[in-house]
Amino acid sequence: MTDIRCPGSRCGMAIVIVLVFSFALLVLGSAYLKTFSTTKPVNPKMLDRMQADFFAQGIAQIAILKFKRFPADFYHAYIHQQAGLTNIIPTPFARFQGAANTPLQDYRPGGTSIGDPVPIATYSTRFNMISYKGYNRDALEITISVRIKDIQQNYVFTVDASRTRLL
Amino acid sequence: MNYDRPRGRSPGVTLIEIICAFLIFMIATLGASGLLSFGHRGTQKDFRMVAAQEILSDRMNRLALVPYASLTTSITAEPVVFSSDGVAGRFLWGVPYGLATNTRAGSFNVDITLRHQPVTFGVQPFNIVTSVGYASTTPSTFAFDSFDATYREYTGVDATRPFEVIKFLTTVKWGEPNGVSRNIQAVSFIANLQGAF
Repeated sequence: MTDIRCPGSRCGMAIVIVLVFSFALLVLGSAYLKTFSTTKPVNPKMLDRMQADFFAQGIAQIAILKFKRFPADFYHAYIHQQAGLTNIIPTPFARFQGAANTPLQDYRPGGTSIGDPVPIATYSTRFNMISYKGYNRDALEITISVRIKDIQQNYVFTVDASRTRLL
Repeated sequence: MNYDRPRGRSPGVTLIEIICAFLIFMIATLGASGLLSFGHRGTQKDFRMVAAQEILSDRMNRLALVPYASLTTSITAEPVVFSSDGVAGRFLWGVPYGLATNTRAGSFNVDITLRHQPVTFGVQPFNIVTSVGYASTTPSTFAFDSFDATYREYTGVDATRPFEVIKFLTTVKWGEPNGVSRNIQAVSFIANLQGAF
């Protein structure tokens, strides 16, 4: 009696086919997971940028408030700065922009950042005059640098300020 | 007795081979379906986060347009929280808070917190009186007084030092299917830039 063997050269082909198919499934699943893993860390960074953006807009409001309240002090300090005079150190313009822990420079009243609960690491503000027509019409550029977690963003706000005499 | 293969029929597979192949296929399919399920849950979670960020951005942009004079009248305590979980149709100067619904991402709740922000401006004031031979275009003629770190205080202590800055915080809250509560927040400021000075 002849032993019954698996005839032909296709012995065990079903298992091989299934293994190949399973491997293909594994590759597709891994690719899908990799796509998902790339997307996941992007969303928190988008939130960080949004938080930094709105915070910077708010600091710009405070900067414009200071500029609006003290125009004479600002103009003369700015012109003094632009002339490169060193008779006053720190310069009045540096004083106007503020030292650390002032409303325009990483303000931390009571040790807590003004941006709390948003995790603002640090921020700074700089003023620059684009055009100047002395108490008539000015173009003021305010640059705010915000660092939140490991993201550093610079925001530039341009203000076109004109003054009208009240009669 | 010899067993001859039937004429005209191609060789097949054994039952054991089929069972083994089927088992391997089932294990692979179960694993793949688990991956898909995991990925789908993650995608839905990210989508909810994106929808929450959109709502947060919308509310912050709307609040930034509200004048200081209007917002300050709404601050009856320091801070004051406008919250209405689960209830839609609540507005703060036209800015909706409370329940916010996204068709695909589900429901969110928006809180708005307002408070006055004390600020003190330090200035080294320009003094025209002591600016001998003053000329506006000659900086060497400029004279400045000593730096005053508390030149102007907008701290709300009294009528001469009123608040001029409002800090507003928007919080978007939602719950995940697994019961975990999540929230995102953003902060900004509105200054009193209206009127003459």
